[in-house]
Amino acid sequence: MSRVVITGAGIVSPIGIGRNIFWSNLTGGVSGVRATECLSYPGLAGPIQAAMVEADLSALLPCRQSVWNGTRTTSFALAAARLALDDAGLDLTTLNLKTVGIAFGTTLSCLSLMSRYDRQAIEEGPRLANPGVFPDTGFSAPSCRLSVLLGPCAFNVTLSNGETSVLDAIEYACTFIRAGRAEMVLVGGSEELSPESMFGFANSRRAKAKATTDGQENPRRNARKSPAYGEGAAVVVLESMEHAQRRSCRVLSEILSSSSTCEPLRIMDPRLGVHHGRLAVQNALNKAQVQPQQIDFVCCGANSSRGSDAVEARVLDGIFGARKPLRTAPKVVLGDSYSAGGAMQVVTASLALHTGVVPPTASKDPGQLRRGFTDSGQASQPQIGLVTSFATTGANAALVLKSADVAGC
Amino acid sequence: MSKGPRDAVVVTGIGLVSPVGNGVQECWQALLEGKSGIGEIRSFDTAAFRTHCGGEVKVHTLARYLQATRPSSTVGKGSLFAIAAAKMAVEDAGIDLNDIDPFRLGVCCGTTMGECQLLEKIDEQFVGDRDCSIDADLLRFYPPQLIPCNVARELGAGGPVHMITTACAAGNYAIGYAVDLIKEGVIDLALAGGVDPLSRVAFTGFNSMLAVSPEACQPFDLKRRGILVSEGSGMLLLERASDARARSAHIYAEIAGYGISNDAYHMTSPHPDARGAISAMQGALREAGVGIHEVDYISAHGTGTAANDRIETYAIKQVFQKHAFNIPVSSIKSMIGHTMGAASAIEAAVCALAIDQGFIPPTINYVTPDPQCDLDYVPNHSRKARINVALSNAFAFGGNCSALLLSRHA
Repeated sequence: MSRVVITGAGIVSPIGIGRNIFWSNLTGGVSGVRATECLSYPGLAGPIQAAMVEADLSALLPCRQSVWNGTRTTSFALAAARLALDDAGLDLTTLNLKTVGIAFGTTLSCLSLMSRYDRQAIEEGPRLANPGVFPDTGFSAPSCRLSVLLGPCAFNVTLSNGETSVLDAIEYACTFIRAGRAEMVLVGGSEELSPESMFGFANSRRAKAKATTDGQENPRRNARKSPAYGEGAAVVVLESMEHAQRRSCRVLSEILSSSSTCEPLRIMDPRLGVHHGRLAVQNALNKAQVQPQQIDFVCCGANSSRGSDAVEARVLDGIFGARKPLRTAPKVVLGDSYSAGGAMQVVTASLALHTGVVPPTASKDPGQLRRGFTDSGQASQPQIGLVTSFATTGANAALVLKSADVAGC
Repeated sequence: MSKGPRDAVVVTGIGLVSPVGNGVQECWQALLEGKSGIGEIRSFDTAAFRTHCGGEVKVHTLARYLQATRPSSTVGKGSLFAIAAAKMAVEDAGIDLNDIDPFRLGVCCGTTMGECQLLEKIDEQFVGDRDCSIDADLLRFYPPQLIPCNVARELGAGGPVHMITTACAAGNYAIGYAVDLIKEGVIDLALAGGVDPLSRVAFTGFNSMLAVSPEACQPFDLKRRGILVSEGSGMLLLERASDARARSAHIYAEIAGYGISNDAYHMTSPHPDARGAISAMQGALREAGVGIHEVDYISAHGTGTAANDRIETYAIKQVFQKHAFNIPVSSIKSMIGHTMGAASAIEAAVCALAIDQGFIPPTINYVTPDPQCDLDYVPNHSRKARINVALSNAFAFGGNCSALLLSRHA
């Protein structure tokens, strides 16, 4: 069975564009969360704590953003893909694009454009609806724009699984590489913050707050009681080890395994699904033939929401027992960018393995520190990392990554 | 259950929710009789639109499958369709899910618009009252992955749950990936398919593109005028052949292979050389190890738009060469309209039924041959035929192309 490796990473985040500035800020504990007034929506009181991408991306885009009706989800995706390709030392004009696929995770995707399109049709009449806008309102529009504008055509898939979308997309891509359907896959996730999405998040948060009267362990007991939301995109280049070796490229990490389960009742009660979550992690460890004690760090999906953080904490406690590998939670400074968050976790874990530094969870909460969350960048030379994600809708996903040095790349 | 990873994956249960009827018997019979499920749309006001027709499901007929489902205020219409179709598939397969390890049961679903009707309600409220009495709960239930999660909840599934949103080809993608997961040994059983409720946004979009026919959908006809937006769900129960045989289950067909590709050309127009469509069909044949002379039936994407039908015909001729003229090709969209993300799942079910029952459903409303569409489209009447191998095409916005190959299980 083909081994699959990550050879490039591109990121568009609230704390920086490109992996170098991102990594510098992430390991330095720089936060992208700010109070913002630009996400107002009826019934949504401002200002709102959010992590937004404020940089001008035009230099990274293949053409004007008006081509895709200005949707930021698509702009982020295109920019992150361009950065990932550059990072992997790839020039698409020299590749056989029939062997290159795209597996993308986005769930809200172009919600804002779709809602505006619909409202305009209601207000002005459907006969005035712009036919050029409709194709960019779909869930798969950002991913398809990648193929249309950059050219990969082996396959193009969009997974809309919420927070776990990108970990699931990685499993999808690995399946395709191992089956010989593609030699290389761009895997990523992208989401934009919009008044519409914030309205949904805010309502979801209220719902969760109402549902959570648990008194359970919470890695964020003294921190924020609800997430700060974020936006952005991250893309990684996956290829078979043989392909990477043929082109003598640098390897950031090797994907050892992934696994997912679902506790669909969690949408009703966010405390549920610890057993399901534990099984996802245990399956991933078993498939990777890795013992819990071999895990050097966990890149958590923790986002400061009581429900899913509590589930994650209990899952990890169950897996690791008294031994607490370093835990880092990048969403504390990046905000929770929903589907894109998993992509940012994968980039974080890969760079931790590549650089030997596990970034801090930029929080001063003593409860977190007791539970193993890193409070400063730790040069621990990690060799195997675990990425976890526990979605509000019940999905649980885990990914095991290995350092390229250990993998013999 | 055996965990043999490379065992064939077969269809043992089918659930159908469509404008021509629900369940295998009702839907299949209507298709063979060439019944149309198209009528004036009732679920929203079409007075301001250019066209007024589409396909709608008679929701009240699903009540038997939805008795235990939570109130519809927390479950969108897409979930209701998918739950009903999934329960039909389980019932049809004669399997007791209580005997199954829940972590070995997965759900893979495809959609184009998801629970868009919830967003549409919010938009109506927003436009109607800017000072805002928006029903905040609606957006909470909008994310599309809630559809397979709700199916999983109803069936007690605990394995992987995926929502694939590759628009009008999504059902094929979901079925294909479910087959992969079973073959990889990740799960033993899957409910896989697609779903889409009728969406005002989709109706607006396709109307604005002048891609909607005013009355009938006429795939491959010279005077075809476009699609008819519709709704429905198709779900297949998939399992390993050895497991199906062990429980003496009826096997409709084997999912022998699939191919997916992307045109990398345009967001709405197919590649003029049908690059993605050809690649997808060739991929499915290659993966199944099936030669072009072995294919007995092609369920066409056949939307009834000028571009799709011409390019699809061209693609079939490129792949099958002279043999293309010997293969019956039909489009059930002529009867049920374009059910978006559900379309390819329903069409996969139709292929399984064609293999199992020995009939090919027709392309109705076919009146005037188009010189550029010169294959055998099974015009207006169903046909008795022994089908050993059937290919189901599905193409989508953004250039996504797919082909699913089903075969008689030996």
